Amino acid sequence: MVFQSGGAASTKEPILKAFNAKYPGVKASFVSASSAVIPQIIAEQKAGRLSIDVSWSEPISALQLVERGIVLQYDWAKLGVNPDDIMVDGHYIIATDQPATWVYNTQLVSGSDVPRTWEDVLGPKWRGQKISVRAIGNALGGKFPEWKENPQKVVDFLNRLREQKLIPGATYSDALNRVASGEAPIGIVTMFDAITAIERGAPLAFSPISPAVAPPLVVYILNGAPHPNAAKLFVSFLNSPGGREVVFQAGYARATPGAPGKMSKELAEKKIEFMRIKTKDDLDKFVTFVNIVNDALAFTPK
Amino acid sequence: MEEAVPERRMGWVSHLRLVALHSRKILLVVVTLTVFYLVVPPIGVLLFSSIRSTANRLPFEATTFTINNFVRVFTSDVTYRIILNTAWYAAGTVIIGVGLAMVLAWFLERTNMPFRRTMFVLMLAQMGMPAIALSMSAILLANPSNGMFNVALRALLGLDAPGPINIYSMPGMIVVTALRFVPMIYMMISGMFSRIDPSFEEAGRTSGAGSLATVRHISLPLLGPATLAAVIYYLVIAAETFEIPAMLGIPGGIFVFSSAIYFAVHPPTGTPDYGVPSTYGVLVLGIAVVLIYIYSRYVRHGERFTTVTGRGYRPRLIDLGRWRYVPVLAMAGYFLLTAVIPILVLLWTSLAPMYSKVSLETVSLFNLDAYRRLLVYPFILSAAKNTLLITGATALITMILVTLVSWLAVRGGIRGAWVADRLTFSVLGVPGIVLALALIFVYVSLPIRIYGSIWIIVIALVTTCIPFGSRLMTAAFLQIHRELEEASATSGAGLWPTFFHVVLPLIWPSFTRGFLWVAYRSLREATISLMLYAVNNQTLGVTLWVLWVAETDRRLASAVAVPLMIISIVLTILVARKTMLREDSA
Repeated sequence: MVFQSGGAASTKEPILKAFNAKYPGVKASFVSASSAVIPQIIAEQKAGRLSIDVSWSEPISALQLVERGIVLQYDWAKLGVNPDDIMVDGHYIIATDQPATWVYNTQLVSGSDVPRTWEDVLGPKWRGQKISVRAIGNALGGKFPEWKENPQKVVDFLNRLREQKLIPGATYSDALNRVASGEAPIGIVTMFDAITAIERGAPLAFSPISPAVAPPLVVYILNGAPHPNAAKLFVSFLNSPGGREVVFQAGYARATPGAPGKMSKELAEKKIEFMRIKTKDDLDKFVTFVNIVNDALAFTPK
Repeated sequence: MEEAVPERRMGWVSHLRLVALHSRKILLVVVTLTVFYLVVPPIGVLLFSSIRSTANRLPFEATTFTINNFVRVFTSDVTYRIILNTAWYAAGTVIIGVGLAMVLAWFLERTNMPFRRTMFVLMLAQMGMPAIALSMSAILLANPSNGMFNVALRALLGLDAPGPINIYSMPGMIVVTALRFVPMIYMMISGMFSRIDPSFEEAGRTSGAGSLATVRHISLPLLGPATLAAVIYYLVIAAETFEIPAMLGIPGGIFVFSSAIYFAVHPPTGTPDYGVPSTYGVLVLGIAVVLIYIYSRYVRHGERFTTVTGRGYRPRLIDLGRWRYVPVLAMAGYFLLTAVIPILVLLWTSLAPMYSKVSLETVSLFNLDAYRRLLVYPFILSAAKNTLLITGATALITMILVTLVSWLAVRGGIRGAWVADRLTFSVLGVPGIVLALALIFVYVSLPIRIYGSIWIIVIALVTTCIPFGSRLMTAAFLQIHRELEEASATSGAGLWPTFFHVVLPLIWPSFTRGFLWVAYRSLREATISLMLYAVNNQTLGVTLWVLWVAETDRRLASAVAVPLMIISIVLTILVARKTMLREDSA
């Protein structure tokens, strides 16, 4: 059974180990591949020879798979999955939240200078490659609710933000490394990465700019997967009490108020509101928003 | 009275010749079809995709033809910005790279500077280092905020941050790429420096011209064609370079064609709209083909500037007098800047605790944690295995293919033998990133399970390496008189016994040299591997990239880069010494 995800392989290893230990008759292996694997999945599915069973990724990059019928639609509640964790009519299951928030380097930024609002980051002190962000519009998810109400206002904000000359990074980790190493004083990173870095001694702290808005990372099985039953067993394991504990210990927590783990605690302490993008309609709108952000901030040449 | 030749012996010899001819024809068909398969479908599919309506569709799923992709690309300001950026980047790289290479070649080949052999080897040392590793060290050294060079310069000169150096800039990209290209450009032009007949220069000096005037009015013009050929060739190579523009250009908001194509094929949402990157690819291909055509014209007519006249001669070395140690210091400085310092800064990063400052106190906290973690990191072993397999397979397949192509083209005596030979060279103008893009289209659409495996990378690398290989083996075959093979055939040996027992031993030195060059190139390349990176085919170059961007711990990436760089330097030194010694004793 092949489990695919992007990001650091080291963080998925504990999950695989626990699954393999519990079900020694099923050999689960992990492959690290980003959303670049999507065309491969489409091609393999057309040829009837998928090489991946389960994927864990951002839901917006996988929506095209749902639209092509490549994601299995299933009654996951039958396998004990919490109905609140089921998204897009049984295609996705929530694995973890991945809100992106502002962080700052505590050796470079003093408490009084910490930006507290979105407008604060437009100030002159943050101009000229001082703000490190992932070069994908998801990073500005905090502006999504406002964009739904008033798109032009957010576009104007983005145009002014572009003038700050951000440093785009290839991934959230890349963006975080710049802030943690002191190359940039502030940036937008995932809470998961920031908490991991802080535990390792990174001089980082969360800036209280609210809200933190993001779709969760989701798990889904591919239609026509070579090992469908093993895949269902794996997904069921992830959502079992033991599996959820393993996932949690690997650092993948929920960000909703009151949820166990540091993510929820940090958000509460800094009074950062968390909003999870969950419905298909909102996911579709988020895709449009992400593309607008990419264009406005020139993350990709358009 | 002459004795008649027995009829039975004549028939038997003729029969053998007929069998040999048919075997060659069959071999020619097989080899031509193989080269055709490698070269033509990717380019054809690229052209096809550029005229398909590919929004939310793969190229072969699209239902209509359209010129809309070309309209979108050529009516967009972005295209012209990208063209300008690419032109600046390529031109700047080549001007600095060729300029430096010429100066180094001059000192090494034409002067009496001491330690020439050592300096030659050291100068080539960084040739095999992965561009990703060099970019990593450049970021650590020269990012405008806290790059080590900048911190030191600011302290020395009393300047404020940021800067003074900003590696995320066009000059930053150009300097790093140019310094990386110097050894390769040197290898291409150095032969000309040593082969100039000194009598031309002596004639100038006899007429009263000083050394500088002689260089300016005699030596440089004689070197013109070879230099221009190098300029054109490396303009194409610079334009297709991806790793350095991706790591140093994008943080500065600078896109060139290679990075624009990469991001067009890897969008954050939705299926890639392959029409636009295909059109970029066609544009780059067109420019590269024109440049390579000009290059091949110069190479073909280079004999007009032949200065090796057949008379015995020894090149006259210019006496630098008391200045002879200056080039030694300069070359040692080049080695320090391009090999030693990058390794040291990555070594530091790999050993120091995370987020520690550069200080003597940090040295006491050095540890091997990153290296220990690397030994159990999930993909290191499979990446190493993939890299070795890809390197070995690419080198073997390339050299077998080009050997057969060249043998048939030079010896074939069969109509159409030139087709495969010309096809191998035609792909020279196809940048690696464009080829990789084209292969994505081919194998995403065909029911051949190669996409996502190491074999798609092997196919791409073989395709990019066959131009060099075919030139090398053609030259090797031209040096061997055909009478040796004819003697074998006359003695009754068939096609394959002749090939293995007569031909192969004679061309073996060229074969092994080509094998090493192709292996070397496969080992250090990452552009194609990154474009074709998917499940199960991760290489060490891609691992380096993934660790640098996906791990919140730069020590891991540095811990991979350090041994890779050291191994590549050691291999390069060994190969350079072997080559140099063989050429010296020839």
